[in-house]
Amino acid sequence: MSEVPRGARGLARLGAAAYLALLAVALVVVLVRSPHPITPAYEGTAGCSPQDLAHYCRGVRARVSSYDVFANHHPIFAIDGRHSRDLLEKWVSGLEDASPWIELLFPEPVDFSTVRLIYAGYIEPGDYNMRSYRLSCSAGDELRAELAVRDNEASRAQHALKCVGVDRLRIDLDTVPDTGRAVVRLYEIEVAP
Amino acid sequence: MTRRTSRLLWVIVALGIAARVTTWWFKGGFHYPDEIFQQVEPAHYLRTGVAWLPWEFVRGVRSWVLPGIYAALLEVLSWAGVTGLPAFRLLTLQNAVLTIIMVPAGYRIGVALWPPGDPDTESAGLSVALFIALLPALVYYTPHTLIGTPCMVALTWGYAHWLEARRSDAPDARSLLLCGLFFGIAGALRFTCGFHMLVPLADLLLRYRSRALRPLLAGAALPVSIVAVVDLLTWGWPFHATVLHLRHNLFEGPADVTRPWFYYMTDSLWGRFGPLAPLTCLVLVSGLRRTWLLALTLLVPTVVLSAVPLKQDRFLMYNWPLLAGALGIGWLVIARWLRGRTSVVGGVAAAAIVVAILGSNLRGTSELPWTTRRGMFHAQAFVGAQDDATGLLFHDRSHLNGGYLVFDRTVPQAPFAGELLANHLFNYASLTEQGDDTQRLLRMGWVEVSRFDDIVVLRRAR
Repeated sequence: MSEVPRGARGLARLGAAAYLALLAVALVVVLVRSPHPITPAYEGTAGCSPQDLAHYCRGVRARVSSYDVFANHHPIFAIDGRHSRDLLEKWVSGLEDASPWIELLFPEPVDFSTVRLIYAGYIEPGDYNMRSYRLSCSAGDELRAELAVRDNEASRAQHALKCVGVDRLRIDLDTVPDTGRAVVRLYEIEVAP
Repeated sequence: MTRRTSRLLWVIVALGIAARVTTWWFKGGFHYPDEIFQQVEPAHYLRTGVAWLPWEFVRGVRSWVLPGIYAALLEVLSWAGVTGLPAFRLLTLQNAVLTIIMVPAGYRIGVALWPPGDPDTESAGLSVALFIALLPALVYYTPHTLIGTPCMVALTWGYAHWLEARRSDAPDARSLLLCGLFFGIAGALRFTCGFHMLVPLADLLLRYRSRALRPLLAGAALPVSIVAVVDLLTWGWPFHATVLHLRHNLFEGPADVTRPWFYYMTDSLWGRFGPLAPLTCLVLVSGLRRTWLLALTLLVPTVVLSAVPLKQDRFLMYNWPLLAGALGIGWLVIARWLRGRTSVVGGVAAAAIVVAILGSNLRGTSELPWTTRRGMFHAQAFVGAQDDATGLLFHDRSHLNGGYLVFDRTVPQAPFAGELLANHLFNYASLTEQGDDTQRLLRMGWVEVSRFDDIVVLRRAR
């Protein structure tokens, strides 16, 4: 067997051990963090509709538990202000996500009283509409209002939710395996004063 | 190893690093999309939750082992503020530089192939090390995130320990253990690497019978177990990805591009040898004459894979370390013969042969896809860095670019489609210079803001 200088071999082993240790720490950080996709923050623009406080052009960000990374159904489609008939333009939760949720993060405190949700049923099969979900709004960690919906069948669901000075709206949705509601298909969220 | 040999080996290592960094510098885009969408894009998904994953990660045809390692590397880079295209470039640079550990393996292969006690034994090691350090067709595959790149490194070390193990009459437990470890790594990462170790394993088992089996299995146990456990945790049962990969490739016919049975001989081998292929073959045969086992080790996977309709150069990248070994040995045989005739002229002629083989191989390797989609990668990185970017429409299909890792922005990107123009989220487009879609957008008032190679970046008029 060939001989390698002892110093070089020791140095190589030390380097390899340090490298592997660093990778192990980083991998643990990645796995523990389990990140949730979030859209970028945009500066508010003057042309934004006053009727929709959830539009990304107001600097609102959408954070989701997951999204369908195979089909590119990105969460920002839920706050782009469009009632599109294009099947791409919707947020779809991940296939393995048993407890999907979406949060709207407002850049500054807002007041609103109505939340409108456009489900896939408005252009796709009606059983894609979500039946059971909970809406809640909060300011920081303080819960300001919440609403549980149990039997929705509407494609365009409108809910009264009085929220004052809140910086976050969260919707937790109940999926049903092996049905049209196995994943969430949400085309739009609108928040009105 | 003498002090002189040690110094020369360090020089070869330095040359090898220089060759790899140079190759990395000139490389752009991808060699094949799998190195993005089956490796670093899933890694980006682990880190950020945002990515495009291909169907292999729906069905569980790929292991999460390598994406997990790349995710850790991307995480470390992010701590230093490096993300996106620069992070991907650093990953490929890292892979290129790490493959330098094949050079000492090459030295050991050369020594093991040469008769022990001969005054030129160390020269044989240096000669093989030199070809492994500099052979362009081998170096080409180093700055990549293909599964094959780490497999090629592991196979090379497996070959070194195989050849060292078979030199003694009694089984050398340590060499056999390490042989099993490195073959285990290669086979666990990519099952088809197994074709490249059939002959070495058969040789060891015939030579030492059951006495070789235990250390080989013990060595392979760790990497194989890691892959099995990761598959169990992610896909539900051990070796899920391996089994489904085999089922897909053998029974479901994945080939959308089929090539003739002689493709590997004519294109992947003769074509890469370049214009001086006859000279290269002469040297190769001189080396292979030393050991028919080496020739057989190269031949078996070549023949087996030639029978599969889907053929790509990268499937036989694992042959290059042994080809480099045979070239190194063959060159030394010829150099000795020349030196015996006339020392000065012979030395110059021998040096000229090395330069000719490497130069010709470089010419042949230049035909490989060095910069496929480089322009698109840079266009994605450019758009991703724009504060106002809310969406990108790009040329061609989803899995023919740098993905979300390179884009480095959590907004949608989608293949260009006229109906998506109605959504003002898509305010950037990266399209081919001469494409009809580009002209259409310009007529609609979109503005050209940058270009990279043949890709034009357009922005929607404000």
